[in-house]
Amino acid sequence: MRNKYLIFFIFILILFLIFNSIKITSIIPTKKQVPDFVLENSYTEHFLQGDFSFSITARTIEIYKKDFVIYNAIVKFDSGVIIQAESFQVDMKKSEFTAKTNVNINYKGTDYYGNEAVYYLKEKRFIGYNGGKIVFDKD
Amino acid sequence: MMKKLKLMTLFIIISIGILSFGGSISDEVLEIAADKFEVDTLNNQFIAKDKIKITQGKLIIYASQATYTKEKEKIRITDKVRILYDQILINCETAVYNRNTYKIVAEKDLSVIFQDYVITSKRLVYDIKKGLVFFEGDTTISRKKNIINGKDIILDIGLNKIYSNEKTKFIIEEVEK
Repeated sequence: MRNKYLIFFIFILILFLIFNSIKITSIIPTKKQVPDFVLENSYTEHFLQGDFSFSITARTIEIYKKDFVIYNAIVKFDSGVIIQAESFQVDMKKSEFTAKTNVNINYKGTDYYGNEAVYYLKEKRFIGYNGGKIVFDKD
Repeated sequence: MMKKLKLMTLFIIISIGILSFGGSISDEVLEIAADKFEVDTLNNQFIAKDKIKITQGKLIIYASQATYTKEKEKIRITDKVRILYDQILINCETAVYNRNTYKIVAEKDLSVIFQDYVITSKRLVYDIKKGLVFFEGDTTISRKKNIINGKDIILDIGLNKIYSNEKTKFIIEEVEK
């Protein structure tokens, strides 16, 4: 009879430990990636990605190995698309630009205002998420 | 001197008048608000999805999906479409708004509410500039318990008249103001 209680107690203890370990690991923050280079103060940089080119004017550019993060930036593409946002996550491998917070995309007099948008450099298209609006001026 | 001043004042008043008259729907900015957008800058095509609100001046359109082609200046609107302009409300499943001609073509599950009239038809062409709605094919006009069936009906919003599009153009009903 005692053994039964003991087994039950051990079982509960194991459950408690598993539960706690999950909790503990989830609380521990992931180690923040350190950028290889940080360019600060209003900076304009020109980039070439295959056949495409673009320029970034930003307050801060954090350059990592495969991507970079830009804050308070204007990105101008050779296609004529201009994206302005508070932050950008640029994936150079996929040629994707994820713009977040107060996003404004201008293309030939048409403006997109929203909260989040992804620009696909090679396909020259973008997708806007989480609500927004497009304003068309009369040509 | 006074004459010149009077002429100047008159000129300014006329200019303001012309400018304000010219501010018709044609000059108004088109806005599309939605949950999601897919924009193809190569083909100048804009696809809006979910909770769509299209506005151009007094024109308001609600729908679930819209595709705007910039070259053609046409918006194809689908899925639970509601079009509001002045005193008219159009409910349908598909509609095309031409920004160049200011005409709306609506069809599928079409019903129009104008004052206390409910008009159902297969297809309509709404000429916003002229304030005319052309109902094509079999059309039913109902008001309270009265029902009128007709073919090729015209609703003249400016004149408050509903009449048939036959040669006689007899007035079916003069809409009460």
